[in-house]
Amino acid sequence: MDLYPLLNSIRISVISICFVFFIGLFFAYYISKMPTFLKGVFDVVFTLPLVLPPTVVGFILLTLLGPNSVIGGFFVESFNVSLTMNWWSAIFSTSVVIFPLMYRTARGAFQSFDNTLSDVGKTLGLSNTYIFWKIKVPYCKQGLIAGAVLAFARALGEYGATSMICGYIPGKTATISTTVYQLWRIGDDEIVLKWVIINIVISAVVLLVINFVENYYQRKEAKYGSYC
Amino acid sequence: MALIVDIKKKLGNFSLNVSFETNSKSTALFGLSGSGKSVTLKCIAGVMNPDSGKIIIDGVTVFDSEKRINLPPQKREIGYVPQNYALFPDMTVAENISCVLKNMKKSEKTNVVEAYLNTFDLADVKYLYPHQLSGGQAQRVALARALVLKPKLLLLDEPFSSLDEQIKTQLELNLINTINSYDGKVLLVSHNKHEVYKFCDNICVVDNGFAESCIYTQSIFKNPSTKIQAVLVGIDNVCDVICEQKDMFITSFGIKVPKKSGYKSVAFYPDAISLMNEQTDSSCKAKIVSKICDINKFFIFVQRNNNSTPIKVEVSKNKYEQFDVGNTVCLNLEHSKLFYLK
Repeated sequence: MDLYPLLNSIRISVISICFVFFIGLFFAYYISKMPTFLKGVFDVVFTLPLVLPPTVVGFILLTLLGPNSVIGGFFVESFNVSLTMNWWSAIFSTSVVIFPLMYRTARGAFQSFDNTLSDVGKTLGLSNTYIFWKIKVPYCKQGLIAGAVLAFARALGEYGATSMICGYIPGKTATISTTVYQLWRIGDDEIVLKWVIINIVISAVVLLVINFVENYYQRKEAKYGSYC
Repeated sequence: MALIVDIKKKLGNFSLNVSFETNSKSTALFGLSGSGKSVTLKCIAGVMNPDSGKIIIDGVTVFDSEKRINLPPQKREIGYVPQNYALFPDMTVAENISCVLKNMKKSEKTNVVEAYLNTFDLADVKYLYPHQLSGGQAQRVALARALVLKPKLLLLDEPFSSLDEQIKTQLELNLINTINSYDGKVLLVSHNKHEVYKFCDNICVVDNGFAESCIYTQSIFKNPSTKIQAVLVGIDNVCDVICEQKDMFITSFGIKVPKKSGYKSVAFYPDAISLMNEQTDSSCKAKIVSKICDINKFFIFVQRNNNSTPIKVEVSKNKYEQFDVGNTVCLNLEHSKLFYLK
């Protein structure tokens, strides 16, 4: 059995989550500081990919990045690189689809932050950057880790937008989910079943990790009481 | 050094208008919960912005709405200890203190941190995290962290509110020592008369967003001059009075008090009044509405009619047992123990 789809899925998900983790934190931080109206608008825009059908996301991405689009055309002309139909093209689609998961969990986590901590930090001369990375992010780590793991799992399973933007080329753009579809289409049920099992195992492990993270912090809190 | 504060701020329906000036070692912002003390403190610390006004610390204007000056909290040289101490939960005790020290060699940093850990008796817990500390230890860490940069002004927000009564005494002694050995000034926010009396030589009373000017601690306790002062120093009975020609009466009881013009209320402790069996003189009649016994003290609450606020009277154990709820008694007020309020 060719394990390329597994490798490809994992590398796409890892790269996407690395991007999305930091971008999600960035937007969650700045949007939570915005006035109510703007906050509402941005919230809707950034949450849309969560509720839109992945095919709609795929269509929008193709319109933006496809060889006939302005951006995609520019890359083809200048660098002779097509933004679609490569294994890394899937990074665009998975990033967009999983962004809302990271963004929303990060925003929720930041809302629970005790602002007196940053107030005191400021009076102690600490910079806002220091306060964010050394006090706020560690304080909210439970929510952030859970959000990142959930987004990672979603990235592994992404099908719709990915299949539109990079199709199915065995050994090149094939991911677990597109492989399952294509092999089922040609009736190769035996290998499909193997991939299904691999997929279920990965998803179950991810969910176990989320549960473990939550239980770990709950136990810690029960033992010591939440300080502040 | 002097602290000059003159700020206005609107927060929803609440408006804050605080103006005071102090030059003493330790000053208290003394007021009931929700009076605006903590907001004032946050404005001075710079973590909240007033709508208008100015704040001058030791000759340095840190906020002035007219001159458009608003120094960030990082540059105000202030130590701020909030009610919950706000220790950084993901850092050990030592890290909580050392993270504040910047532009310092590692060895130098270690020396300073060690010195503070020893001064504040925290050497044993330096590798522990905040959630593993007792309330008293947490308070000491917060103080050490706030003082390690030698701020000009130390702001303390209700430093004892989250501590058990039993361990307070030792901690209070520690805090007095800390304040005395520290060069700068202290501004303490409290609603507790004991804390204010023990720690501060000057008091600024804050009532419903409005601050009266600063007064000596001794004088407010010896001779409260406004209703809110009387309430804050813990005088149980504060009653309005009315003038009728030559005499002055407590409005809700009709009890006569010596006339002094210009005063609107009187206040008296529960021991300023005594109860007697009903007499023919009806002017002092009142009804017992409830009884309560404290540690070695016995109190009876009396009311003239159903609408008036009850008066608290301290009685002997005998009398406490003698009188029952519903009895009618006669009140006798000792005029020398009255405080006249504006």
